[in-house]
Amino acid sequence: MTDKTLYELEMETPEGRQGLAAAAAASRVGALLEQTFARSELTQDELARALGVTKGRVSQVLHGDGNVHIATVARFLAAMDTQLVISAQGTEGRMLESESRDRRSVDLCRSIVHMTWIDKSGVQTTDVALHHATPSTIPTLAHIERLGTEMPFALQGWAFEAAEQYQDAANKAASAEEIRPPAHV
Amino acid sequence: MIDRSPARYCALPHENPGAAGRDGLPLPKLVRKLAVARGSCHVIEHAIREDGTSPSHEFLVALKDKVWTADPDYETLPKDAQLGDYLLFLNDCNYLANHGYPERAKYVNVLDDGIWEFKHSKKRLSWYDTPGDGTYTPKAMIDRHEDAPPELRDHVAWWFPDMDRYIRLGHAFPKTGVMSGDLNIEATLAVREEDLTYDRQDAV
Repeated sequence: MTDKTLYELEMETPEGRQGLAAAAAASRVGALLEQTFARSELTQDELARALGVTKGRVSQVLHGDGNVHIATVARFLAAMDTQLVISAQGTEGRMLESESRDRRSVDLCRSIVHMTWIDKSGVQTTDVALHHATPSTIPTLAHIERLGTEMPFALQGWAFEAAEQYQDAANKAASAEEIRPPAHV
Repeated sequence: MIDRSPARYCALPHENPGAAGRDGLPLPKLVRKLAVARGSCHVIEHAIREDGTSPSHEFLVALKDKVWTADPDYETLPKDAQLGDYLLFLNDCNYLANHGYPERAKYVNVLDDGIWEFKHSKKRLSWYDTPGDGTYTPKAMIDRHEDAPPELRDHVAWWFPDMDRYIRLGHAFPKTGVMSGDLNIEATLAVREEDLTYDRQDAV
């Protein structure tokens, strides 16, 4: 007898793992569209006009199963003043390439944002997001807090780590937005 | 490898003479062998009928094998559509088990008397929640946004109540009309009553 769940048994096979990954991705995309639309304060008519499609098409995408073209997702999100960010993460939690870099960015530093979340059951978890950053793209508290509003968890705290040569830039970015400097770890 | 045999979830030989089914005969001791998903918020299991069968287990196995004949679209289905829905139901269960609320508002409906359902295409899978001691407290949708728990106020499913630890999948049925229908709710109520009898037996 095994204590494994049906979900875990499916995850043990390549077919099950791939199928569940596809189901989770479709559900996530659907939730992303649904959630972004709810926050946009747009009506379906307004969104349809912005996209140049019928209201029926808008309804179909917003209320569908999320298994839509990436381009469709990007267009819908853009029409709601939101940018689609794509990343890949290894199953062991290692963040892989998340965006393309231009050839001049060879001196990219790696910044690390430690975020602590608390879910509905009170369980505290820590996510670590790795970013390739230049001084102009170093995440600030405002960025992190914006991310927090898009997550189904309450953001409890965060800390920021950047390569030494970018510490000044990080502090300037924070002060430019009149927010407290991030706590360096 | 998913074991399709009923022995994965059904009853073991009787060990407790104190409990009885609706016909007055003693119920066998139950060991719930196969949970569907387990997370920090919930354990999602198959509800078990008095005869040891589990409608939700049979439903999921049929979907995985693409042979759920009650599907209104069965004759014209693309080959993998039922398998796709099986994976979506499984994903729903895993998300709810780990987060305590559904990822998408559209994937869950409240029916009646504490009966809820997962839904994908024309397939419905009802469920109820219980602390696992043979009791249940029907949960209804949260009516007012200001009554939603703080962590859910920004979520489209802010109306989802805090369920008890155990979610039991009850009865599967095709969506054929505007409403789910009294018969399907009654079927789930019957499954719940029979399933909880096992828990009450364990609590004796």
